[in-house]
Amino acid sequence: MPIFNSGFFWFVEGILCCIVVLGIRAWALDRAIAMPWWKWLAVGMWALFTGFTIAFVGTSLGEGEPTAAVQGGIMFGIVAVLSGVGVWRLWLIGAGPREKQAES
Amino acid sequence: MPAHVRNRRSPKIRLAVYLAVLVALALALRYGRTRAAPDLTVSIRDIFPRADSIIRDRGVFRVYADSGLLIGWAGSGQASGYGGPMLLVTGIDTLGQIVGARVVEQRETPIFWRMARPNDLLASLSGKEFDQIDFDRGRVDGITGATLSSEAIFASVRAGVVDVAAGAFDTELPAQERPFEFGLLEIAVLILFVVGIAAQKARGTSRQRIRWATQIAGLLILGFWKDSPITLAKLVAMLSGFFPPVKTSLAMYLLIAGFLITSFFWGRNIYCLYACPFGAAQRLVGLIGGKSIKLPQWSVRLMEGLRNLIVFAAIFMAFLTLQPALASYEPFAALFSLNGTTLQWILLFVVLVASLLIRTPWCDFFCPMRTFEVAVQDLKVATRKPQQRSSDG
Amino acid sequence: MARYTKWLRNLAVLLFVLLVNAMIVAALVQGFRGE
Repeated sequence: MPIFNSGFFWFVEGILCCIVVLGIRAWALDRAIAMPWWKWLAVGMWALFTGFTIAFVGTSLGEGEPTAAVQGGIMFGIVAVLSGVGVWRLWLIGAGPREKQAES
Repeated sequence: MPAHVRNRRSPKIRLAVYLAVLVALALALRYGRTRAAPDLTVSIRDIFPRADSIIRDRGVFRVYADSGLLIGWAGSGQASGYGGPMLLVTGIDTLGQIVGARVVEQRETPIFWRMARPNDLLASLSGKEFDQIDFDRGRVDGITGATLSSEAIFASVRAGVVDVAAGAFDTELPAQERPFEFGLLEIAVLILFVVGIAAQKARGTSRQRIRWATQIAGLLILGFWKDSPITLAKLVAMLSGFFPPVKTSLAMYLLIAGFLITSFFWGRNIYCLYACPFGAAQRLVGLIGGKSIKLPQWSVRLMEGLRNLIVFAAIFMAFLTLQPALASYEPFAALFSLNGTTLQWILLFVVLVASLLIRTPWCDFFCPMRTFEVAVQDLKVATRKPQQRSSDG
Repeated sequence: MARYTKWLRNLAVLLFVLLVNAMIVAALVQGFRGE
């Protein structure tokens, strides 16, 4: 538990976030998908929401509330999964013709 | 597979299966209905611990202590809950005060019954004079989400109190004014059906647009606002002989009637296609998911068969135990009222995620209403067979 | 390769439906067992 309070943890966390963002940018470049600001926003918000969902489940379990964990987890989980697929399809908008063929 | 094609394949076997199913269900219902009636004296003794002898005198029970002293009366009352009638017995002492009330039998969905907190509700009545109780408080104080159950509890107690008041205290309590509920929900249901039927005249794309419009309206009104889609419990309750008063359940009657009538006379189930909120939810999720998987016929038929089997088992058990509410395995309440068992929540999650890849998975492979719709369509085809054959020849 | 994918996919759907049906049966049994 105390590890999450330490500065070192957040330092590593920050590095991981940067790597993920650079990774997304590289992946988009590889697949010739344009990345305007709104796509970044969508992905970012989805990541925050999913993180919140996981945090909710973890916190509820930690507080000894398994029912809340299940109900809230599924509720937010549904939104996370559905919006995830939505964001994925959003992300593919503007993909090069080769990508569209591979998709179908 | 369209009904007329489906029915041409081995019609004799289909008929045999339908007959077997009907006979099995009829037997189960008969068994359920003829089970021994509950013994009210057990509950009465629970209310009056000093009770020695209990004598039934016309509508009420006279309770005597072992000294021979009359310590009170008890009256039983019945009221319609969600899954059928519930029976409560209420005890009143010689001063006209309510000693207590006990639930003899109820058929509510377990989660909602717990939510209604029957023990708390009944405890709140103790000590009050029978003519001083405001039973309409049940409608206000009733726990939201379990409104139907808590209202039924109060109505049931009231019925018992009315009997005792008349039989023991020679007082006639005023009749309970149940207003005829005809509000936005009932109007919405009517509009959805009318528009759906009218849409059959429209051309392809306009019909699709109308369908989206009604489905979204259904999702918002029948789903999130009122949480009153057709459920297996409601249908089975009626088949069991439990008909809730039209005054309070008009919307339900309209939906079920519309479901059956449009399936039979128009061949298209307007409820499923245009009104059902869960169907709408699946279609919307399907939009997010994009193209859906096309499944082979043999697989679809197998999965439909499984669905029918489960629906049959659920109805059979509900008839056997005379507990219609237990047959409802739908996860609708979890989505629309955030109320459900853990299993129903998981079911909801799984079905909605599956809707991304499979077209309306619940409707096609799990919904009991689809089984009924198919049966109604088969009935329609069967009753028109002579015409069919001549038009083929 | 494409033929196998389709077959696997259909099998997956079938298994999924079986799994969900099992969940439903479990729910029904759980409910009626209380009776």
